[in-house]
Amino acid sequence: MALHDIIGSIFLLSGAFLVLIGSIGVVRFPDFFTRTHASGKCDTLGLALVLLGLAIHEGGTLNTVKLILIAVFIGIANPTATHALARAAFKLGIKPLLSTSKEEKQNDLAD
Amino acid sequence: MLDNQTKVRNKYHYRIRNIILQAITLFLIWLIFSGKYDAMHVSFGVIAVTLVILMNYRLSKVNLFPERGEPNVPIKIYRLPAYILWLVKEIFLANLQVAYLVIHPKMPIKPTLLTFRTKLPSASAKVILGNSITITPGTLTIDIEHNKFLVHCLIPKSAGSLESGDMQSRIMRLFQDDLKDSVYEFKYLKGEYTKEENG
Repeated sequence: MALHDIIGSIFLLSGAFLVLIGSIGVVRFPDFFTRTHASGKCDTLGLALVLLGLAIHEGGTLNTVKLILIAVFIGIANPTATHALARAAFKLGIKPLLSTSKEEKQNDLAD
Repeated sequence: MLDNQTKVRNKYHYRIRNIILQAITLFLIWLIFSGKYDAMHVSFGVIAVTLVILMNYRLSKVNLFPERGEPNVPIKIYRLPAYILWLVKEIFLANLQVAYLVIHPKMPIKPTLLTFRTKLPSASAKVILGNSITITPGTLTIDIEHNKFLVHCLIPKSAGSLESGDMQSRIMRLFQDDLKDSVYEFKYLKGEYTKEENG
């Protein structure tokens, strides 16, 4: 097994792991905005890592450049889409669930 | 003060330079994605690039933010790579933090809203800042109004580089050397967010 295969596999696996964590976050988080965090962010880095892993697997061909270009495109498009979603939800009047732990409330009262 | 003729000539040069840069970039992307270099495919590329540039030329005359009269400050491209490297580092660290929050059994998140103002020179600078905030895990730009940003964060700690103004001044440095007012009126919102606070 060549070295670039091993490095590529490490990138692929860590990317897949991050996408998995993002999906778990979508299920576990309590409201719309926190779920947007989980789905939008972990996926950006996760997908970028998967694509970079594939690019390393590919070696130095034209496909490598294509994969890197796709990763760059996702890096620009994904936050834009996430922001559009969050802004639309906010303008529609969905209230973000804000922190309500006990010590926070006491701090608020003390202020 | 610049006399009018030089101003017009500068604008003209700027436009021509932009079109040439755009054509080269688009054609390079075509060559990479096409992967075939015979006369027929390359000529398809030339036609496609010409069409896109014609459409973009008409778009460039449309002022997207007419009411604000924001100046078009050009970005200093040679300062971009250092910023992107820093951003990738930030994304990596912040992503580990969010992953930790997700798989922690008690899920210790403290969703918080915060607002700040910043004096960025142009609309594209605000777009870069908004996207940088959103791409960094743990922080999410909800709204931008004039120079006021509304940001949602999972835990207040993940907004550290926003509170210190680190990210804002790095983006300002892409456009100008003067880093005055990179961040001011920074505050965490408590309780319900109301429309009045947005004003």
